[in-house]
Amino acid sequence: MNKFILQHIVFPYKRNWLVGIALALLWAVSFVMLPAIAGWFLATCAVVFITANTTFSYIFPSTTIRLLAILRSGVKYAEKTENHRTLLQVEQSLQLKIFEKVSRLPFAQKQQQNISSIVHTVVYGIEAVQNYFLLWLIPLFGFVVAFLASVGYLLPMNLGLGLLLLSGGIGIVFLLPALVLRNNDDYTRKIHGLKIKQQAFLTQSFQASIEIAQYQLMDKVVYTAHQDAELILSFEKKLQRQQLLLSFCTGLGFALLSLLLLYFSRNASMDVTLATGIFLGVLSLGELAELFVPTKTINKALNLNIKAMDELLQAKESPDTDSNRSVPPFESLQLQDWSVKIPNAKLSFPEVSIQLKKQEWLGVFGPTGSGKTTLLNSLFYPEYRQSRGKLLLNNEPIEKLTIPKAIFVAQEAFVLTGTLRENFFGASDDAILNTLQVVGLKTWFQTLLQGLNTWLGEDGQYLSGGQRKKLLLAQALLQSPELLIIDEPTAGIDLVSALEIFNNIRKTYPRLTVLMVTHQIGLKPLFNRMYSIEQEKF
Amino acid sequence: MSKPANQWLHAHVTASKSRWFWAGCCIALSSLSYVGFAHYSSAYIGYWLKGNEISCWFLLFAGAALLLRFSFAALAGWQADLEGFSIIQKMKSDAINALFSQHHLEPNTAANYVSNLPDKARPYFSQFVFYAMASVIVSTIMLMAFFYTDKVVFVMLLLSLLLIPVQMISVGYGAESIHEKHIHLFLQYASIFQNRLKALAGLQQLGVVPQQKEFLSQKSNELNHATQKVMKIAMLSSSLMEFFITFSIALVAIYLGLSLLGYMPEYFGKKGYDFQKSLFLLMLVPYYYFYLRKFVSAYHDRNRAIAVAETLFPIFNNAPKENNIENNVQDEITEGIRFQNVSFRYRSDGLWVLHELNFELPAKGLVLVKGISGSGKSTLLKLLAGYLQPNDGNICIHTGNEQASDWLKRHSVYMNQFPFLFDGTIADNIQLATPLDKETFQQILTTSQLTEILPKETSVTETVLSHNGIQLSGGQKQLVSFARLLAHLKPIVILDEPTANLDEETSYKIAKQIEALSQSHLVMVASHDAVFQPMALQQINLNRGQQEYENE
Repeated sequence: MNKFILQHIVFPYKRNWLVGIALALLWAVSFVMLPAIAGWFLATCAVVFITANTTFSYIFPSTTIRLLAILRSGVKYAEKTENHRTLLQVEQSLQLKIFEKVSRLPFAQKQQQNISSIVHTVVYGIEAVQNYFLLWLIPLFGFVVAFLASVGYLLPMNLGLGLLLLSGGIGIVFLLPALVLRNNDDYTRKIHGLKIKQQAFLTQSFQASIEIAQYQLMDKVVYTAHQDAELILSFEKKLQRQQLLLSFCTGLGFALLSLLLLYFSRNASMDVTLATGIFLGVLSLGELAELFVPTKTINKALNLNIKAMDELLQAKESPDTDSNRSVPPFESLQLQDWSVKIPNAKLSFPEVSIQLKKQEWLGVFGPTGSGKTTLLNSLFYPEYRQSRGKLLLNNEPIEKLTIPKAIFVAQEAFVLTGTLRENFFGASDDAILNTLQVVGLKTWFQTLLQGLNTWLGEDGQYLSGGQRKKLLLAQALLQSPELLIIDEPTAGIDLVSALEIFNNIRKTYPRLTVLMVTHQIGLKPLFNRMYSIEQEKF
Repeated sequence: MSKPANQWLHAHVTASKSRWFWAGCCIALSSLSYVGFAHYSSAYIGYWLKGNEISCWFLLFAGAALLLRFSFAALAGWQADLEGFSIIQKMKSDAINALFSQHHLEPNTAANYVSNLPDKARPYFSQFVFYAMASVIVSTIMLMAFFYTDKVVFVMLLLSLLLIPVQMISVGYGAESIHEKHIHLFLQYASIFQNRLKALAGLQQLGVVPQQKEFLSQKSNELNHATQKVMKIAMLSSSLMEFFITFSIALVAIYLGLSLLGYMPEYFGKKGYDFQKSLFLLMLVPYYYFYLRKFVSAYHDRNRAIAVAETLFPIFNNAPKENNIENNVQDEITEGIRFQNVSFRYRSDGLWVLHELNFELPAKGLVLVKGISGSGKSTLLKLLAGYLQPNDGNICIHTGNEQASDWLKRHSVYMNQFPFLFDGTIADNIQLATPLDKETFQQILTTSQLTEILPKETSVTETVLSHNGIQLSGGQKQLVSFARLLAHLKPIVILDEPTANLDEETSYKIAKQIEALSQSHLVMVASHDAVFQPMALQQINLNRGQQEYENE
């Protein structure tokens, strides 16, 4: 078992697993014992009758049979519920770990991360873990114990028969799958890759459904989607065939093994009552094996998924993400000979020197593509800056600005899937309403029938561009920052409302310092000072 | 449970009967082979116990019967699997076609509807339906064998069969609604989780990652709670069944043992009951329950499939009916498009986004759509492009053709406020499926200001875009989308905030190009930019009596 499983799944829930596995063992043993004892009981009864033995009491064996029947079904329920509960806990903790991890990745990487592949990794990784434990590992434990008990019972009695059972069982459960599943890795990997591709393709297509319809790309998209689906299906069929083959071999193997044992036990002049018991016991061992050996087909997927999750959890984090460090109150910010870059791109931008004092509003202007957004990114993410140049906070050099004292309202306005209240999770209703008023969403809010419980759609798709911007601004203001850094605040908002909103903000938060990047000349009246970036022509 | 969804599911099962028929035949042959196996192996042991001469042929026959039993079972299983696969495949392709005609769907959910949701219904077809059929066939054959061998065992096992309907009703009751709730929570959680991951960078800039993590853990608790409920019902039902089955096996074993001992009254079993016969019966009893047991533990697959059907079925219902476009429609006339009392809202319980709009559009010229943010500008444009249809009122076209949306789709070209860029080069994104000649392409690059705005070293034919064009700035994306529109012009040109992310100089140049277009086209523009004001032939104001944010 690999390190990942031990570290994230087994050790944190040791006690739960112990209980679950103990129950599984109990079940497997009683599963095999019931028919074995029943067969032995029948044969003994017959023998007793034939030999007219008067000392035999049927009470004890028949009671045992009934108790085993109750045990077998009762334990099964307890075992399944227990192990399921544990796995759900595992699932939750893994999801949150991955969420937290992704939040610590460097900014540029996060922007380029393939979200569908992460989601796929999480969803399918956890499903694979569940299948692995429930369908394979736990039944395997049970089987091995029941199997070893049978072998241990048979070996002292007759070495040859014991060895036959041992080698036959090992061959069927461990060697046979290796033979049948030769290409399994390959199929599993292909399905895994294709499914990620398909999910990404479909999501993209549905995002672009209007563009697709507009430019008559529908046939092409549908064709590609069908092709992908067909390809996935062809591999899924191969997997399914392997699974059937395994089930066939396991069932047949154990049944033939039981016949062989029957034949040899007679040659070894064993007691017929015992032989009957063993015969039926091995048959039910086969039934037990048939339950889990075929699932090995899908469990190869575990390694792939776990590897993906592990890589994600091991990925390099951005150097310093500690936001709890105490930061002195904001007095001034200074950029000296500051020059920026886009990571992994060859563009370069002119140096800038900017000064910003407490409660000042500074507007930075520049044409499209002059590096305005990159400049703001560089204040928070070191990977966006060139080595020369200095950033001074209260005249002390710093590496980057600290959230949430300084808050960055980016150009792309995201809205969280959920209700209005869930978008502001953690804030009180009053605070939310006040902020909505400040950003000019009060009128809109009053038209909502369900108020704060209004569902805003997936990624806020029921909102207009301007509303998204305003919501984002409200989110930022709720964190009560000292320094607010805003990128292109007016896209989707007309100039007059924009001026009104920002004047409102200034009135409500007089201590706030603002650094705003825009191309909208009309916003000039808002600023104490202005700075202009000239585009370097190449 | 709504009936149509259930019927829809059922229709899939009965669509192809031949595979089910062959699967049934294989199962019958497999169970007959098992009877043979039980017969020969019990004969072998019976002869041994009585000390008779034994022929090794018994064991060979038993082995051969085993081979047949497993081969036929595998064949039957394979038939059922194939059927399951082909049903799911059909469901998926139906879903793709239906979903693309619905433009208000949430993209992630829609993708899940195609790629993951139908798979959850597969066990219903390849297992539940198959096991249901198999358990009927197998238990009938076994009951016949019991009837022939021992009437008491026959009656005992027949009675135990009656427990199954009771069990089914107890599981079915309440389980469906729990399943539905679970599927709903599951889909919601998946979409929330994905959305939070996507927004992580933004969340961090706002400093609200811990709050959102807390929120996710709350939602996940909710989901886990529902999952546990579903699992408990499933497990309880299969354990109950297991209990009945195991117990009746035990009872039969004890009955047979006591008969052998001669403790049973005369009319039950006579003294000196045959051991071979009783062993034969003991071996048959577990097999009698073999498929029944699988059937019951697959019972929750049915509930899951119904929940899937409930979720999927509505999209087939909502899909707009295919409209045959009449070819005699005078194609190029864009004159006199008229809105008559048009109202629209996204959800039937939602707010009216547009309310009783009335206006008529000119054949060509620039029409400016104005209004504060959220007043429905984008929605109006989407109606005009034919992607949304009014909930109330009509969009009338001069041709008299009342079903306007298809006509509008074919005659308009639309530039999204949030343009979507496909994975591929910039040139691919502009030309799409129809490559342009070099000259026209260069002309478009110049007209759309892309040559001006893109850095010199960015080659339009080599720079590969991904993740919705993350490599470009907001303004550049908008220009690429504008170039795309220029490459695919139609009589009606619809532009949603074409200059939102552009600087003043570029905005002006683009606006001039748009004005030039309006000489020969009907151009609809929604914008806050004052630059369009003097160019407009007509203006549509969407503000409802609240003019305080209005520009002059």
